[in-house]
Amino acid sequence: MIEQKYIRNFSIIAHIDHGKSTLADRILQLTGTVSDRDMREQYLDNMDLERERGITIKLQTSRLLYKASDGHEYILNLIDTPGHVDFTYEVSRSLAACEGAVLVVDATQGVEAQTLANVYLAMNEDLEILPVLNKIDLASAEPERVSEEIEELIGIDASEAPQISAKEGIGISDVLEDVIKNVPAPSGDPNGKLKALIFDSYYDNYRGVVIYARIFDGHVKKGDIVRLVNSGKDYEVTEVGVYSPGPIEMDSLGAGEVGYISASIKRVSDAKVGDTLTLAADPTTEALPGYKDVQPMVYCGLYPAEGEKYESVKDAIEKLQVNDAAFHFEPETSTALGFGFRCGFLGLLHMEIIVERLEREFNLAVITTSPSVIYRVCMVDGIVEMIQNPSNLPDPALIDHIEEPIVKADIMIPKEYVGVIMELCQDRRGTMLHMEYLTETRVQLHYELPLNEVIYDFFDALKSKTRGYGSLDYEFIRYEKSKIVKLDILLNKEPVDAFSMLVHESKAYYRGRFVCEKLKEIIPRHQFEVPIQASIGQNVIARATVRAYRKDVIAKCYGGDISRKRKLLEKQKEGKKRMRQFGSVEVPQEAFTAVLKYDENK
Amino acid sequence: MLDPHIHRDYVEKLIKEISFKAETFAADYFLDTIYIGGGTPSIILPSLIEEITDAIYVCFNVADDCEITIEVNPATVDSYALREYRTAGVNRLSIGAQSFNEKHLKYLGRIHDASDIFTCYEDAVSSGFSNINVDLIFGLPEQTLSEWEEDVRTLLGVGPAHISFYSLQIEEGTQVFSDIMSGRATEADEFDDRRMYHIAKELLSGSGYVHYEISNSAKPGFESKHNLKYWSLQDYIGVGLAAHSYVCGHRFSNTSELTDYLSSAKSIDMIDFIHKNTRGENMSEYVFLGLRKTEGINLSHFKKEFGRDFWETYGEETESLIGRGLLEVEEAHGQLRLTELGLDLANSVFVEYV
Repeated sequence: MIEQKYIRNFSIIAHIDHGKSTLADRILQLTGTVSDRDMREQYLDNMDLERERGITIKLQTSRLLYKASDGHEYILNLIDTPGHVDFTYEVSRSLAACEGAVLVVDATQGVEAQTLANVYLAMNEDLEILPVLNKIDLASAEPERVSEEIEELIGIDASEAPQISAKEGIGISDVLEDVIKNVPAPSGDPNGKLKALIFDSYYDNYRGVVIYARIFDGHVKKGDIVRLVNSGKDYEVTEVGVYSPGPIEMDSLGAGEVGYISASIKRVSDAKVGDTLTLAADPTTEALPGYKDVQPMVYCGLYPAEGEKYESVKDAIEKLQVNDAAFHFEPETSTALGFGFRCGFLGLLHMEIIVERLEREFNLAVITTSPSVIYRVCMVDGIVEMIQNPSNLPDPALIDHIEEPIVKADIMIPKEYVGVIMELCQDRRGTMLHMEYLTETRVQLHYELPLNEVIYDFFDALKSKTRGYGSLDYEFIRYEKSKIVKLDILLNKEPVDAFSMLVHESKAYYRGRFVCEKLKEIIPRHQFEVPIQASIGQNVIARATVRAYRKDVIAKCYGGDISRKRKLLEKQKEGKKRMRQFGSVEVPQEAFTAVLKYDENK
Repeated sequence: MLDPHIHRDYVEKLIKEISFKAETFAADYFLDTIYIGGGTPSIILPSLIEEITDAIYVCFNVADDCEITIEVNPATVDSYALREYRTAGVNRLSIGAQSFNEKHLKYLGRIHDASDIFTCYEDAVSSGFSNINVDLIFGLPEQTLSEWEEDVRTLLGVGPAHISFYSLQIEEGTQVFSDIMSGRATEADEFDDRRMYHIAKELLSGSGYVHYEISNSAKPGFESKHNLKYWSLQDYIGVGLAAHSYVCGHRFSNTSELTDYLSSAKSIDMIDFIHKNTRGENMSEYVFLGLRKTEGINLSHFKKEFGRDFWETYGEETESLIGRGLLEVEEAHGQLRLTELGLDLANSVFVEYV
């Protein structure tokens, strides 16, 4: 049994781009966990998509062996955390598996909203927070100013914080020494009843669901029958081990340790993050605190693009779901798009990630419809319906009122952008709660915003209006009565249900006009004029027209070169294939995403 | 090809190729059309043209009434050359006039002017040519409807047996393309382009010309037999740089690199690509090429050719195109053809058969 005093469990928390993954890479290299030769840029972020976007979506965890300056060898469990506002709950659970957190702050940029959000999460879990100033190799680094800022904003003394450059490999061992000195060793009862926290899980084709767990008390080994306290289900453990960073099977995992457990669980949703694992034969009486069944906040329709098979899309999203308990789906049909799925996501980024994974990993083309939040539709007869699909909105005559979800949003920006961002929030029907100067140059705005204003393009707009310096964190607070209307889009006088959306009355005109204009740009000219209309009920509130084409002919056949002509026709046909047919109107696939994008000029 | 030595080298290679091709194909084919064109064959010495036609007569069986066309540029041909062509057996002339308007000719980078066209035509007639085609182009940047009408009327005054009238095709790599891309020129409005097309069709049919293909009209009996072969999925043997062939169900083309062409030892070395058409491809080509002809395609001929009923093969696409007003069936002869609207939107039709 490993002595707990030689174990340290910690996370790295940071704002996006502040260097979390690079630091993790360097730590893996320094401890010899990954040889320099095998070092892949940002080892822990092993999904291509994550590497490309520079954010962590799925957690990765690694056990490191480190010989400290005190002469002892320590086991360090580095628990990676996802880095986006959509995944706050996952972050909080991985933090709950640790005793300490290394807080990476970019010495050129200082504290950002995401940093604060993560710090608060870490404080909630009572973690020891160790600030680290990164990117000190850059000329624009201001370690003194930033460490003062940390003290001022977070109330942690950062004067002793290691000054490092993860990129250049400077100061990495200082970070590890700091962890050993200041992160408390775990102190669970090795002989107590098994109590382990599930902080992540993924699906493995051979082993089924693999759980990442932190053992607090007791121990677990192969052959044990374990019980998931919240789900109440029992499973037989088939393997336990640690990642270093590849899997290494162990005889058992004991108190204070972090590792993986596989127990032939079929679906990730059966082993939910936050659940407590115990022994069926000798169960603990108390579950670990903080368990929450994560519910999707944003819904959209997802349909096979022209030429894709429904079955292939179904197989693919089933595979993704086994790995992602927060992703929900159920079959639905659309008159415009045919058979597809209604999918639920944590947020818009989560949605984009799933779509991109379908495209890249499964090589599928899909169409998504306008994302929607969940509305509470209170009927005249007192019944309340939760509606997220515009097509399911009951007859307006039967509706007493509609309530929409409101979030509390914390927006951090440099002070020069206060004006434009307040304007943005006002435009998005926000109510300002208060504004505070965090430092002389940095302001935090606290707003209440309708979630449906946040999901469309708020984040893009914020980034664009603040040249990337603005950051956002939000959480759901309540439902509130609101004037929500269903906006329909008609092509050639026929409504296309896939374009319908629920919007606030005050926004209907703007959105209607925006969608009409966008579609006018995107829909190719047809043999006939294509009127595009936006309407609420019977009232047309915006319109645009795609002019008819009058000429589509290759006048000349070049001296018997039929192949060339065939190629031209094939190219033209290829373009048509990427179109969706609505009645007699052909609409390119990209129309569905384009109508959702933030437009700089609007 | 300004260096006369290269002309000679080229023609020698061409003649070699003709004899190579004849070894393979002469036994199976009886030539009833020969077309010398693609580029400007009139820039080489007329005697070289005669060497080429002689080689063909020697190597192939050529019909007595074979239609033999040569394309000429009005500025590079004179009455001497035209008489030489006659001697070589050429009996049809295609004059690349493009326009009678100085401004537009200049824009197209043509070195001839309107008077060259008249001279060329008169010389051709006095040299004994009676089957003459003249090409015109419309839809040029800045071209007005009346300028175009003027071009057509002028040509009708000349009165050739055959008239081709092409809508300008803007293709990457051309001067017009880069002018339009850079904003130096404005692409002709589609609406105007079609008005010009309709003006030409009307004026020509009013003067006794039969509109028999999208861009071609002729006095009765003077349709281009050669071009009709392309549109009717008939075989042709192409020789020379970048020449295309359709032989025994194979489409193939020669290299378009002059040095590669000249250094090829055998006919096979010249080939750039070769593709054996599937039956499906043949059917689709039969349809989309055949529909270029205003008479369209004959549905019972389709069945005879491919052993499949046309409606079983293309029923759905065809019904939909008829519904869109682009195709129509002429019951009396069992022809399927483009409507007036279909002529303007022919690609929208063809694309359904690819």
